[in-house]
Amino acid sequence: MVIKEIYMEHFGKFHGKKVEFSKGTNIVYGENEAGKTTIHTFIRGMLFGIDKVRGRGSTQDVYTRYEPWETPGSYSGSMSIVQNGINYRIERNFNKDNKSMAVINVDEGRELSKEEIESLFSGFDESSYYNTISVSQLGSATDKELEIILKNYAANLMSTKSTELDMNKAVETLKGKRREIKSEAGNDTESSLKNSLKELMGGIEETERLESSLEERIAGNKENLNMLTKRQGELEKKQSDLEKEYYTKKGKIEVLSSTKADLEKDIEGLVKKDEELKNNRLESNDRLREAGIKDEEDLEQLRVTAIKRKTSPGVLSIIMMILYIAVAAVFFGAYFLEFNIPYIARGNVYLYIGAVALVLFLVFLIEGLVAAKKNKKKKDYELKLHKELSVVLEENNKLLKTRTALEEEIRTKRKKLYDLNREMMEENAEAQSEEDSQISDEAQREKELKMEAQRQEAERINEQKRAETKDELIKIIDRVASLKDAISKDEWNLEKSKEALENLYNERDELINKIDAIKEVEKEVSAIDLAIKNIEDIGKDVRDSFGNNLNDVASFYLDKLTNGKYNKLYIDDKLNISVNSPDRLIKSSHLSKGTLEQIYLCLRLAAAGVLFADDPKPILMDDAMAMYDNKRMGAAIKFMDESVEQVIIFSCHTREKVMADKLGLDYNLIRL
Amino acid sequence: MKFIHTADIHLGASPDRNMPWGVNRQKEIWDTFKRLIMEVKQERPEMFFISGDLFHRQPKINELKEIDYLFSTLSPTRVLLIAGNHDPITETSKYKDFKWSPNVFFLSSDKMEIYSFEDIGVDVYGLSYHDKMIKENLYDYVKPQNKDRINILMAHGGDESHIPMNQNLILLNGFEYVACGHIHIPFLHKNASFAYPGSLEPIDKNDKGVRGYIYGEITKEERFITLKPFARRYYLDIEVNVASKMSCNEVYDAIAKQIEEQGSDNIYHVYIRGFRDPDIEFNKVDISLLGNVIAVSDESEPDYDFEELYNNNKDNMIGIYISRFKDRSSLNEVEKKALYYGTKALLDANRD
Repeated sequence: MVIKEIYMEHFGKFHGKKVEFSKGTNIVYGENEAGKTTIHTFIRGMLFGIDKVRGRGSTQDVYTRYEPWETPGSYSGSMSIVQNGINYRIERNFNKDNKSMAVINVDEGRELSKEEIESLFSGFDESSYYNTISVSQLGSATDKELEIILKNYAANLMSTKSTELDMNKAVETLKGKRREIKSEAGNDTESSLKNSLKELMGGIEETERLESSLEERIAGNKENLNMLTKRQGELEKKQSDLEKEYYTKKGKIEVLSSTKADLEKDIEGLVKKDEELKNNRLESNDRLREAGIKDEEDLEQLRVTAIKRKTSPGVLSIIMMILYIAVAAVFFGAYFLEFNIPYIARGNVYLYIGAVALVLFLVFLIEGLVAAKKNKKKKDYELKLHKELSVVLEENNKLLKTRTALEEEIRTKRKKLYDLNREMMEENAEAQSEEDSQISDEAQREKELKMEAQRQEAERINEQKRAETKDELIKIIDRVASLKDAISKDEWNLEKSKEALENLYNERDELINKIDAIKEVEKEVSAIDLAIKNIEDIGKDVRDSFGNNLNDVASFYLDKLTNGKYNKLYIDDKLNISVNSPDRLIKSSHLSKGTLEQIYLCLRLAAAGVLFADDPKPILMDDAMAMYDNKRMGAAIKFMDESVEQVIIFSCHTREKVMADKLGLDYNLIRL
Repeated sequence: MKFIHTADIHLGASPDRNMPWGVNRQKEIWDTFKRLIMEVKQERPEMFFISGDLFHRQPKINELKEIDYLFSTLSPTRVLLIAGNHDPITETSKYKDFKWSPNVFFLSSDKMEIYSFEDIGVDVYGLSYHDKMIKENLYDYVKPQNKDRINILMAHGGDESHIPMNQNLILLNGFEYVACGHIHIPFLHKNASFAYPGSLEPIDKNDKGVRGYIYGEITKEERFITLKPFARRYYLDIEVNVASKMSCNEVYDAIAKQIEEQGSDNIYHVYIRGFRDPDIEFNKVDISLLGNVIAVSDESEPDYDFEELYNNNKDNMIGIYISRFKDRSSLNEVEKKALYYGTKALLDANRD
């Protein structure tokens, strides 16, 4: 690119000012405030535009500074350039309200499209402008500061190539994608999830172990419980047997005792009765003896006798009576009825015979009656006696019988008593030796005491056994209760741990799913990282090659500029600068300010050369050589005239002009 | 002899419980089992084999009562049951001492038992798990004792921690039918003497394919078995092939269509393959909204013609970048993806 001319329509203090430039060296000479910086700024503005800065600094910014205060509405100009053999004119209106830019292909007489403008200025932006072709002096910086400036400059250079933009943007995009993918996955990484899984599996193992140990313990406890429950049953039976024994014995003994008491009472009563009966018998015996009755035969005799007595007139009497009454009747009848009885003459005889008959009859009658009555009396008396005596006899016999029975009963009861005593003794677990039932009362008493003692002993033993059994039973019941408790606790815990295991298994499955998902994500992330790395490596390569390239070109320039004094320039990757003189390598810290300035210039030119290799740009030197000594300045001007397509030197000194004349250079002078 | 053979029902399992269809899955598994009971009631086979893992974990006592009641309604069909590695008869298992209905035969011993059914001339051999793992090959050398009977072996196992089985050996032992369980993938041997019915309902996303129960008829002379699909839903794979002219929505529609065709009740693993428009990216969340989608594998590649791109961009970053991945065929997955990511990022940066 070569700048042919600029036309500042309204810019700064210029209105309608035209300046023409030529190829090669151009010197723009003017005093301070003449407008050199304005022109410089204008050229920059034409290339890249001037934007109004907002906020702070908006009163001091470039836009405001060069806004023509006479015609604030008009703020424009144009610049004619030649690039790749084609003439273009750039037209701009800087006014913020109607900003515009147009590039016109003068040869073809048409306006360039946006894409064409882009491609025209491809790779050429403001930052590369500052870093390369717009050279201003390093000023009065100290050596140290200079070095730093150089370093910074070198660093900046490295990020100048416009491919950087693509690369950075691409890397940014990729990093954004990476963030996106990672945020979807959350905070997990494969390794963190795998650790979680390991922990979980550990937890599962532990819970499973707990589960099986619980199950074992429950089974063991249940077995123990069975045994204990059996033993408990045995003991309870034993206890109830002992109790039954105790109460039975007691009861039995009581029953036996009371039976014995009753028996004894009975026997006593019976004996008493027997005595009574005996006495009664004796009495009745006397009675009988009195009556002369010995036995039943006698009594029967009495009865018979009694019965034999005629209680009514006898047959003879009756016959006599009948006869006499009949005679009487006949004779009376014959007398009164006047009939005759054979062989007896009628008359009062009849009456007398009748009367006699009648008297006889009456006599017999009375006799009979009286005898009968007597007999009856006797009979009655005898019968009564008989009755009485037979009762007495009966009673006597009864008494005898009764006494016999009673004696039998007494004997039986006595035997029962004997048996009872024996039983009672047996109850006291003592062997009974043979005894007859007719034991005397003394022996009986002794036996009873012995029995009582035995009974008490047995009772004591029974009580002791019962107490022992009760103790053991209590202990066992206790143990059973605590076992049951332990079992039910364990079973509850087992339920819980089974539930927990369920959940753990589900968690494990979910984790495994997550791990699979994460693996996918991590693959993506790895891919993105690999892409980023490759892009950055390429960038590095490019920078390196650029760097190398830069080093070579800068070295070439330096050699030329210093007339071989320094023939090599090194910038290492830490951006340390050193130069090579024919005999040694010199670090920048050991170089003079002037040399450093020269290196600076070479670097810039080299950078410009490399960056714009396809389309070299004009170099603009804005009072850049003020600090150079004449010799250096001369060398620089000569060097640039030879090496660069177009140089525009802005200066407020005549030095450059004089030197140019002296060197005999063909240059274009623009006086402001 | 008609029979129905099932195994690995896993009552109580709750697969995919964080997924929308997973809310009711536990109940579905129970419901399918009840449906099977209805089916058995209708078919009236002589025997109903359940070869282990009826429960996914130790059954609760009320669950056993429910099952026993259902079994009792199948009378006179005999129900043959063994415990598997998921529901072993441990010391505290509720299986222990449970009283089953008269038509239910639980081969609960940990040693091989033989149950004879003289009226139909069938002997059933089997044992139950008393522990989660059994490493001995308890089935390989069991031979039927009474050759006149129809001999059936119930076998739960088939991997190294759960009664390893040598199929060839077992086939030679002479059982008319080996009713297996434990492996969730159905397998019916071609001579119909050995089979896994697979899980009745798929329990895990790897239980892909049709699931159901085995219906069979055997005599001493011949055998016939068939798998009857029965589960409420299956895990299936769907593959969608994309081309670079397809838009995102077009691809989604294709997925949705396939889901509908194969049954919207089923659960799908979506595989996207082919070459897609490099500017589009498939959103896995959007895809999972198209149906019951358990996983999405995007194996598609962006449709870049790298040769052409390289040739057109030899002198800039893009070309340089592509050239770094020159041997495209020998790239691993991550490298391939890096190539796509970088190329896309650079192309996009260049475009602006």
